Amino acid sequence: MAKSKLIVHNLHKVFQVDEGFGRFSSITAIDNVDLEVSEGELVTIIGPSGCGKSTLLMILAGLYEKSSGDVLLDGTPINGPGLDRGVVFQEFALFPWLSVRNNICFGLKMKGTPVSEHDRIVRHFLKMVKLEEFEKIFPHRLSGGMKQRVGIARAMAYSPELLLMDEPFGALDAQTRTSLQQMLVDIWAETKKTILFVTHSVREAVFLSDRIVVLSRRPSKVRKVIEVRLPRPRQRLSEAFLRHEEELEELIAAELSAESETQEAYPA
Amino acid sequence: MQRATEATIPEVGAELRPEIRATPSYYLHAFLDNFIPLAFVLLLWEGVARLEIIHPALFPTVTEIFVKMWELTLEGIFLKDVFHSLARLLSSVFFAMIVGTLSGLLMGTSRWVEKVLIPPLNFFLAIPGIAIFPIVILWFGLTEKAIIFTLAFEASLSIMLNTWGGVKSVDISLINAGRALGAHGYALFYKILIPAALPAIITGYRQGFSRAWRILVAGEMLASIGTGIGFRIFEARAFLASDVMYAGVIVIGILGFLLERVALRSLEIFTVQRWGMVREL
Repeated sequence: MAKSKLIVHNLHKVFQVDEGFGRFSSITAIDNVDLEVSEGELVTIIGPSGCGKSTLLMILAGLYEKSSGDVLLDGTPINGPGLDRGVVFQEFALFPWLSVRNNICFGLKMKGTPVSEHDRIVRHFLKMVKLEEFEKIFPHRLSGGMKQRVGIARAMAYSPELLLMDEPFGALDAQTRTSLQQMLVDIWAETKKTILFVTHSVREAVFLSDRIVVLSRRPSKVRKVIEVRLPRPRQRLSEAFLRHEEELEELIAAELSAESETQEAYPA
Repeated sequence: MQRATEATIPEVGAELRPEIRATPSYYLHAFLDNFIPLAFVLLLWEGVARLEIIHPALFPTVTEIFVKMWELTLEGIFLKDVFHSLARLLSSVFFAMIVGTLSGLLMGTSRWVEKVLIPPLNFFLAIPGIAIFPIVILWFGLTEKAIIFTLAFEASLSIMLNTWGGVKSVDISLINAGRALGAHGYALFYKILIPAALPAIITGYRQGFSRAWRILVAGEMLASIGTGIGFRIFEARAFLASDVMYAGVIVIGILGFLLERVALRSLEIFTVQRWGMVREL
């Protein structure tokens, strides 16, 4: 097995929830998660909605604090956000006051990449996401799919070690979604980036991943890790593909029914 | 551009509206849009005044007012008044922009500053600037300083309130994106928070200008400072020079209008509207 890029060990996350009128309660979002991602691997995290998979990704991005446990990137503990990771957000989060070009340059400027390099880098990544003509356009003129392509280019431009994607195609229509999944696989094959991808779509997970990490309902634990050994390019309608889908559907359905049982056990 | 889009992008909905071009006809249209409704009001006024239902000394015709305005302009009185009033307005609002924007930004980012500043902000917002004017006169005398202080007081609170609200409602995902892209501390402030809050900050400037402009005219009347449009109107009252009074009022309206339409609206068009952060109607 290739060398580990990311190691998550014993991760816990407890949220303080303000119930109003000065009362607080704590909710455990993540309970004892262990995870390892190898160099150049594409791993997806899937689980029932509200299970804390986005929370996990935000902790890896350094945007949320962890409660306890270890997160190591290339053997170094993660402490807050950093340019060694690129983050792609579900809500795109492009800066509306910057042109497509300047959105992509943002990380380069913060990293201190020489300005003479910017032109070349911007061109390269715009070409990669097939948006060459849109360099000078402001984001509000782009469609959702185009916005997220800029989001991907922006997160990769400063060449981070690890790409973290938080349900990046969740807000897009089915057609755009499929085309962006293909684009991502192509980019990954070309760049050999390590990618950790959060999704709630089993089809997306099977199409993209080397491995799929299935999380339990909240508080999330790793329920199962599934290796997807299907050859690429993957056929969404092949028998093996559908079998993987079915297995995942069943795992998630089991989690959901377990959840409704707990709710019955503790009526509001 | 449109054809290139169709050729390379398989998605629909990539609507590319043409950029607003600053052509002569664009400015002509902008002028006419604003001028036609005004011209209609002026015509109506002229008609009613010529009927002499109201005594001409109380309600002069538009023609008389504009002739008087022209005379006062030729004598140099009006230009001096306008200049002094604008100088007072601009210097005080400039000061208020700095104080109001900075304190509003701090309030929006630091829980501690917010806690300390909310009570005084709400307290002072309840007080009309003109109510403190007599007290300010005790401090500074009947001087420029007294007027400028009162105006700055009035404007800075509006700017502060709007900036604070604007920063607090900045989309958390933009802040997260900024942090993920390596912005922290000061850079997060001026690269993310200020541009993201700009629509609200501009609204604050608008309110600051219009509130200060109202107080300015009242202040010039009270302070009898010798120049300024407010002073001119008040002085004309003593001589029952109603044409001067009306001319003064109209000039106040025109200047306020120009400040909004030319200065602040342009700022908006070239920033937040170009970025799609406010809707284009």
